[in-house]
Amino acid sequence: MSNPVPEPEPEARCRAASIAVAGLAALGLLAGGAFVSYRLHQAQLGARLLAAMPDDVDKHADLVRYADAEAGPLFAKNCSGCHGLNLKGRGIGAPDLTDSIWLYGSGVFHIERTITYGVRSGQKKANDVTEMPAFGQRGQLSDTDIKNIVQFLLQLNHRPYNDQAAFLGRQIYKTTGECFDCHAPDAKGVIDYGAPDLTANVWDFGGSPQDLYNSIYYGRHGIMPAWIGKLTPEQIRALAVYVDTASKR
Amino acid sequence: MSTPLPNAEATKPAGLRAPWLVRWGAAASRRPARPVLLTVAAAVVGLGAAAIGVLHPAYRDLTAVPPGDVALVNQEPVLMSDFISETEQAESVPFAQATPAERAAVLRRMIDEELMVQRGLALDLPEQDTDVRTALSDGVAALVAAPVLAQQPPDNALRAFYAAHRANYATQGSMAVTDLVLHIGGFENADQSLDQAMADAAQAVYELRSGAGIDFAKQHFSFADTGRVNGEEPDFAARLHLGPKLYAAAEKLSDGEVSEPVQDADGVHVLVMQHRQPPVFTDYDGVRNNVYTDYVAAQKAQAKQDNLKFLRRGAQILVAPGQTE
Repeated sequence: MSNPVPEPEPEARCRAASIAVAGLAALGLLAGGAFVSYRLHQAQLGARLLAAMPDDVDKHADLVRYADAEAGPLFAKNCSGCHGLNLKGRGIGAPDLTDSIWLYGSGVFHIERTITYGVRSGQKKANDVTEMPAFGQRGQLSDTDIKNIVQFLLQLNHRPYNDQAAFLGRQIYKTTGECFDCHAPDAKGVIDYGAPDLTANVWDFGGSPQDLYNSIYYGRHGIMPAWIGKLTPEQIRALAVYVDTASKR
Repeated sequence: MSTPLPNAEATKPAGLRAPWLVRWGAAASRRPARPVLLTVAAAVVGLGAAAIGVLHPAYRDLTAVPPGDVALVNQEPVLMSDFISETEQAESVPFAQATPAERAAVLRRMIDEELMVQRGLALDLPEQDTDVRTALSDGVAALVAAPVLAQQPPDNALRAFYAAHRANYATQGSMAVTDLVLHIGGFENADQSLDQAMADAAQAVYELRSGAGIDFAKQHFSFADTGRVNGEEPDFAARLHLGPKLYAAAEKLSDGEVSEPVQDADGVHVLVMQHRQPPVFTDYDGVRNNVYTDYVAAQKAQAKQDNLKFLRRGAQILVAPGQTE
């Protein structure tokens, strides 16, 4: 015959329960304290990120880490629709953000300005000094003129080209086409106008001869919305740092 | 070994203790864990409230410039980013190379501007100043037009636009035309009926086409010369003076031609074209640039109209009795 296990005394049960509750509460307090401390630390980092001069942020590794962590989800939610989750653009005029080529200036400051006010967004402070005219549609260049310029562009980028047509294209580029006015005589582009470097073989709207023809014929009018008022200044700064960092990897 | 001094309240007879303490003691003796639980719960609630207070501070006036701003003007921030940009534009040097005096001058100007804007709002200039209202209206129109303008128009859309607005791409025509009228139904004291006037006008047209002069028609049929078109007039002026119905009949006439009788509000008219210089239409290739510009302008106007429709759907608009918009 086995001996039954004696029931603990009610007082002992209460004591054990009290200790358990107190232990759980202590754990909860610790977790809560840690959470508050973490959030305060994050808020402090956010304040430092904004207080730093834009182009000095990359001198502070903790701020860059913080910005990357904050901006990742923001980019996925707000920017990846055009620029892609990998930041390489989605072939619809939204540029590859990882290639270190910037139409409106590199560095956190210029990127931040572009995010804040956009490109041709309707905001007065947006980057919209000029746009690529529709040379063909407006009848300013003939079909042959445009095809010759395309051959000149292929030559500039060390791609197969027709020698005679490229020669004629170069003449048009430098004279009647007035391409040099925005893209510079050496075709290296002008940041003040957002006119791209035509010698880098990087094309936001496609680099095939037909794509290049279309860009000259129809013109280009890339647009990016202004994010001021939709994102906080801290979020915009974090995104600028995130994109700048990605372009330097 | 010393024994701790008993708590004065606890040593009181039950009848002399505070009632809440009696109840607390009774509850504690029945369920010993409850006091601990309640104390912990109170601590957690207190900590939570503190956390909310720390993480979501209530609005209060800022006494220092927040990070990311260069100044606060009546609690309105001036962005550091704008300050850097404006300094670089004003001085044509990178911000780091601008002198303290140059930066100060730019900042002073920005603060002055902010003060003026705030004053303008306080004076309710958007409601009172036409220039401010126009600027606001244009600003909104530019915002809504931006995404529309981002799309390059296809060629067939431009050609369709050209076809629909061909008259806009023609030289201005001109005409010298005599407008004769037979008044009817009491107009200008005329007592003849419409049928009678139409019959007389048809006879007059026959005579004029057979070589009779205008003076003959005036004397024989009692036509009056309206004098609406004074000498050679450009088409737009002739349209204005003749009215749409008579102009439609006149624009088809060549030199020396006589129109069919045209009934208008004041009587029956007969038009005699003295000289006609018809408009010359330019083909699409000759006006591509103009068509493109006009098409884009039309797109912008359409975007503005679409936005107004949207705004009207959500707006409460009351119009005074007897008034229409």
